[in-house]
Amino acid sequence: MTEGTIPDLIGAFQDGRVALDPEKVEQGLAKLVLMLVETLRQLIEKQAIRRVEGGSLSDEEIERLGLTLMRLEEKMAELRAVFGLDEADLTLRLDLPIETL
Amino acid sequence: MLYAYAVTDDPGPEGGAPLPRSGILPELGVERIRESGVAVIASPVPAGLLDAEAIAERINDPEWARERVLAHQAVVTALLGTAAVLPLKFGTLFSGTAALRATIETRRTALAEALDQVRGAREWGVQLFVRQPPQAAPHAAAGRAGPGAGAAFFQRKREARAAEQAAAAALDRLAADSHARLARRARAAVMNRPQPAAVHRRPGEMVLNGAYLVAEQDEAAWREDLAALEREAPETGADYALTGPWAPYNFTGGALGAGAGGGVGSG
Amino acid sequence: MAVAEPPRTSGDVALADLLDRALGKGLVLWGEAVISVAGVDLVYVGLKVLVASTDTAERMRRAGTSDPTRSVALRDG
Repeated sequence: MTEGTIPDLIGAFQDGRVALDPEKVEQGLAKLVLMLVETLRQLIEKQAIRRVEGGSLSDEEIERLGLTLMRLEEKMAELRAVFGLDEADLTLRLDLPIETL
Repeated sequence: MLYAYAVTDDPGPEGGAPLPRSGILPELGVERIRESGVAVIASPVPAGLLDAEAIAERINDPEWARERVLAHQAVVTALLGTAAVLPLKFGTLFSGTAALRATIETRRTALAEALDQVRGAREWGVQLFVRQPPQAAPHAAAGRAGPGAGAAFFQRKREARAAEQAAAAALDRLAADSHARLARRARAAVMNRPQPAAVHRRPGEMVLNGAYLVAEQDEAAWREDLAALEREAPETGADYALTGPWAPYNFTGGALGAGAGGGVGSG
Repeated sequence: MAVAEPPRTSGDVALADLLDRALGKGLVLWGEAVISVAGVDLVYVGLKVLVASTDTAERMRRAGTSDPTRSVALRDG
């Protein structure tokens, strides 16, 4: 699949005109939106993991948090399936140290 | 004005291999200027051709900029094999011959030492690319509802992260071991920062970006060390890429400021 | 004796390696009499579309701003 860089996605707009194929436009926009959502989801997940490992949450809170994140992960997988995208397609290549956030 | 490409051994008044016919711009010739025991390979530049104004005009043309860098590299490469060569960083301009001679004279000791360090050796680059095996589907366990599913989610994430860290540590070890093996028969070796994927555009991740100064008489043995690494690399996913020979950009000792005494390190 | 191979000068990988060397490494002769190609800074502006190497960019930025003799050199022209 193509690299998930933002310039690739907005390539359709470089001429100042929208691509004539409405499906392609929709696909490009969907991918962009999902990339952003996925980035957020990963950030939220990492934050939650840190809180859990910090030891300040009760078992019940951990259970609820875990279920919520699990459902979020499942929903994301469903959305990806709808648009025929896999995890690699949604990786935002920013060369930023996102792992350390 | 003079555009300078490299500092080399002084071949004497009649000596020296033939120089390339054109330089940084196709219309410029290439000359050898002998000074204080070394020679500088440079192109005289007519006034106005490469001054700040002219450059400012062309600089936003990536084609033009790339052609200039390639031309610089072509001159430097042509000097390989004929003498010890210290390639200059791209973009060194002198106001004239007097300025160039003065600069060289001031730094003659450091330059002589730097030339000694690279004489009879060539620089080679070795990069190591690793393709990760596809991760096991992380959602295999998803959807198993029921008591403890939330806690199980975090357990799953913990295990995944531990696996990632182990894999990353293994890659670091592979890169460090490879570098150490390649450095053994080299006169000098440096590890540069690996290039990001957007730059190297190869499958996989670059985990080693090494440069090695190898004496010509050791080259065959050094190549065999690389071949051994390639044979030992895991069957899937690890590729070594050899580039070169290069002029010793990584082993010039860096910057010789005014009055610098020398001290050429390993880059 | 190894067979001599000229460095590849085509293809994106070789270009990046070449740029990292010619722009990021190599001998630097700073001094009162040197005019650095309004240089490395201006060149970078043109080349940023060619290579996204953050390390080269970082070093070029530093090379363009940290040398105290630089501003003297530019006036020398």
